[in-house]
Amino acid sequence: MSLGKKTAALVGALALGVTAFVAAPTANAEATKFNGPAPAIPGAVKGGTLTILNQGDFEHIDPARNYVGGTLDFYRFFVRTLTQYRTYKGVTTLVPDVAADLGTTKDGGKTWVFKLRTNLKYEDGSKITCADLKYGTMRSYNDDILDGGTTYAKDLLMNPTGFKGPYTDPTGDLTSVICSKNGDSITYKLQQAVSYFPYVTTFGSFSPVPKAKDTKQNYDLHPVSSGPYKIASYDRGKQMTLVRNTKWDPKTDPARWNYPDKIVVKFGFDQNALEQQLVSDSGAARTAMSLDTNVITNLPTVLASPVKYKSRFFSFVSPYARYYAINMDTVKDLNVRKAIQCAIDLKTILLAAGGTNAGTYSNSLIPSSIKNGYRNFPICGRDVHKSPEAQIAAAKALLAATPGAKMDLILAYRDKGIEPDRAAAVQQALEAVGFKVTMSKLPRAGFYTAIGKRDVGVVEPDVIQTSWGYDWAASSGIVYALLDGRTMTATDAHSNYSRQNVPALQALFAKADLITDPAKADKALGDIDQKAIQDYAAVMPAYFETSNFIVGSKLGGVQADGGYGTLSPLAAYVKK
Amino acid sequence: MFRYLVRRIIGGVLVLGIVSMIVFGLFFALPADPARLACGKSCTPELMARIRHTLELDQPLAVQYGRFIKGVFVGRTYLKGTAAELHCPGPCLGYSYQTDEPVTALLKDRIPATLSIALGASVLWLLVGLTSGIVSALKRGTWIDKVSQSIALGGASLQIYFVGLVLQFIFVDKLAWFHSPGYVSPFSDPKEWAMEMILPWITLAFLLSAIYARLTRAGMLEVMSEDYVRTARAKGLTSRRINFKHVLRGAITPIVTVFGLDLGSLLGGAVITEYVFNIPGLGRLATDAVSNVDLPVIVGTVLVAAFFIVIANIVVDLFYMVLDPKVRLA
Repeated sequence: MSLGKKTAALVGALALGVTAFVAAPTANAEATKFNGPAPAIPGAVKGGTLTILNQGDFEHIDPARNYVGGTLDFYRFFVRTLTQYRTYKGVTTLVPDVAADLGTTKDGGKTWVFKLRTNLKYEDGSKITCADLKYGTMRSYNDDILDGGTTYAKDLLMNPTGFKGPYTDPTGDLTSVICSKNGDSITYKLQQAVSYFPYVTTFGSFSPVPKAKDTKQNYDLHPVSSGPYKIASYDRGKQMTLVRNTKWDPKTDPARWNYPDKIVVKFGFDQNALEQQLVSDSGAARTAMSLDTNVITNLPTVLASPVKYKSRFFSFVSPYARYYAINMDTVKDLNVRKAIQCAIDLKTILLAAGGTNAGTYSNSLIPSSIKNGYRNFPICGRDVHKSPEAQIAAAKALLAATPGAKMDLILAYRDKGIEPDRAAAVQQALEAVGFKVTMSKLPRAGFYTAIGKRDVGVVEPDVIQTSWGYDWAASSGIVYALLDGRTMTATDAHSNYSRQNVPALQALFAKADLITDPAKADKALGDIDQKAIQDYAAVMPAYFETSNFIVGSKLGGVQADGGYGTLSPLAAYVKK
Repeated sequence: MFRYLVRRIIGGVLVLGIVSMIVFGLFFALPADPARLACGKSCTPELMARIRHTLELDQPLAVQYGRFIKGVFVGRTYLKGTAAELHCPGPCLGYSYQTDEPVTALLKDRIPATLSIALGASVLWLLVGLTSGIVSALKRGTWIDKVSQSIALGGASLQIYFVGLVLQFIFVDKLAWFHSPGYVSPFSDPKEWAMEMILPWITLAFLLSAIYARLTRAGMLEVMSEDYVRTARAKGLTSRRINFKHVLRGAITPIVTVFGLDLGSLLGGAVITEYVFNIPGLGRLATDAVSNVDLPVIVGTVLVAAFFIVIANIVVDLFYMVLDPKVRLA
């Protein structure tokens, strides 16, 4: 059954009065509900100015260049994509956006056809066309100039003519993206079957860009709006002001709201000063929130008065998994890998990260919010949620039963924030069972490239302290990237840091490729996650980070967004 | 005088040239790779190589430096031969890797905020520091001197980060006397500009005036014990004339030196103050550039900071000539 006939759902799991659950895939008829407008937020009123106070500016707002969760969430105010997420009452659902449906495939996912909405307009009143959508994808091929974005279009789409992007190759064409004659549908031809393609099309490389208005690198300063707001001014590093886009029609948009008259984003705040302002809730801070400032210093104050801050405090499990990849190329013995799993003490790791307010123990790479993919299973005989401590006796027993066990380990970690503290905790735990650990502190920039290198004369690490935030909220956004042996080349493991390439697991991947039903795909990939961890000890999950945000008392409609794992202002309104 | 000035300016230009070379060299010694940062999450070696080529990082260091210097004088063109060609008119300090904007434009945009902090705060700290130092020296040993010196000691011991946050907590978050800090141009809204600048000025002045008070007091007490001051008293000059014409003038030379350096440093970017008070000045631009390994912006901000230091030194030297006849003769 095609994914286009289904809706996938997920969750932002919340604490302090915010509930979370997952909607089951809905019936075909549900797709017709996605014509817009988005369902009204209870109690919401129009008017006022929403203020967003951020420490840093957005890295990029050009849809071809944006690959940061918080910005992907925020820029939906002015960027529409082929498909998109909608979060309403705690449930996040994949919905068609510029598309009129969630895509159909007749060949198991190798060719995808999306019907398009034909009545959409840009901020200047001009019509959004299929050609614009195609051009938006073509731009992402010039990723040497428009750097920083996702490479999904380039990685997945066929490119028989070797198209290099419209700037380098102005007369070339991306022949695998085809607009129908009347422009009411678009077809994507992929290199291989990809069942999760409608999730991929939530990214900016599948958004419309009018060729005549493409200002190339400067498009990053003012993308032409197709959403409910447009950019009135953007002074990089200082302030962005959004005003209503009167050409946007809510009836065509199932994913967005437009309650405030104006949205002002100010950049450059100090973490502590910003926390202080938001917690104090005085003056302009009463209608303000931050997209990039977790409450850290003031967290004890806030947690000590749960009633006082209840309506303003949002604490939710983020999609960022912290875990330890065990290099299966260098640690070949299964018993040794299992001993590493047993020896790792999740309690001290989480303590080093800030304690249970900073994260939730995890037994899986898949967050519990992805219900069909996640399941609780023991690692080294313990339920890590109840017994996160190291299983020293079990680890020693495994090593004792393994003659010639590799006892010298290299632990790689990034030189950033609390990473060295967590790595020190792991070193101590591993050495407690007899391993000799050499610490490999790697620079922040280039860390992910360095830990992926293989067979190129470099000394590869045996245990890698790393993390992953899913690109879409489904098992396919995690398990393929982190555990699929096919992602590796002879010299680069890419994001499969444990170098997993066990034939039995790869056979399961091959089967999962053919599943287009999202719920069944989630389950099949969840099975792979469990086997890779339990049976092959490819990784040791540690915890999912907890996000703690506080917003002004005069704001309503702010919610944790399951699509991007962020606190989203998309449905926010200013209380009268 | 003119020849002296020309000599100092040529020296200053040489210093700026050496600074630019050192910054370029240091940048390449760093383990961070700007191409890797630009390459993003799904980077491949092939993409990284193309980005490195686009950013011209695949050229030898000397070639890159030569192009940079040429751009400063005659401008330069990036991405030649593509539809995304960019021309950067001279004086071109390059394009930011992070924002794709000309560095010169970024610097022009940030300088007013830094000037606002530095000039306003310097007036305040000079006024407070000199006044309290003079009063302390003249009332040496009295309770006025003791109170003044205690405050000065407190100011010298505290950090901008701490004082700034405390002031914001009291005057913005609790009393709501001032708006949330930031920066608006004095030409668009002078009242709001002043309202938003008061706390940064007070913070900086509180800390720096303490140093100036102690310097002034110590300098004046030292000069007061000089023979020529005793002679002036013996000749029957008024206290006011002795204190301000002879004592203060003798004590002010080291203060002018320190002031020149402090002001020059601040004009190069008041990093912590800008962060604490959300002021988009040169300091913040520089620190953001460092964390993003944005070489052209790093070089630009360092050069501007060095430029202000060089200018401040030249001005201080000129003041010396006015204040001290011995320097003029030399």
